[in-house]
Amino acid sequence: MSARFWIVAYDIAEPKRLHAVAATLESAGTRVQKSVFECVLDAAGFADLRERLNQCIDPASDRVRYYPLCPWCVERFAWQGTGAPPEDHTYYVV
Amino acid sequence: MFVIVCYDIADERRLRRVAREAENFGTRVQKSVFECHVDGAQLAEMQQRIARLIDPLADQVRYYRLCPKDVEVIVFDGPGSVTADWEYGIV
Repeated sequence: MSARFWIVAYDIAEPKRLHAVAATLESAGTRVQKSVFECVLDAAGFADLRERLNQCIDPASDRVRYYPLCPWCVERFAWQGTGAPPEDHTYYVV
Repeated sequence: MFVIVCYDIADERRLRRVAREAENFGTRVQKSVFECHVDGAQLAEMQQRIARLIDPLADQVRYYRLCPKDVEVIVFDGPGSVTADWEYGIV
């Protein structure tokens, strides 16, 4: 199954849940900002990550957004200030 | 184009200014994440304006462009929705 580049951005209202979400994402991808991670995941990996994060959050008050980026879009990434562009992963999008 | 702008700004005052500027171009969907529906000229203008507000040694702003196919696949958990743009017809 082909892998896809994902941006995962979260707003978690409570510190313990925030910590759990961050710890889960540390195992799945790369932290690029305080509450933004970049991950390369196939369909199963994505489903698994989403399931694990949903177990951490309170859906009434916490927000997690998953933005996919195709290779064309990854190339058009821009940034200012500190940090670096998305890591170079080899992946394919069907 | 659909552009996600997310930032980490080290100073409160600069943070407020960057947020205010981003609000001119898009919708805040999370504490420091905006979704913007802009054309190339607007994106360039936004980036120029924000560049003047940040400390490049301490702050970071990331701009991710999503093509329509990617926008269709956006997933979110918790309250909120993907911002709409008449051109893409996504609600």
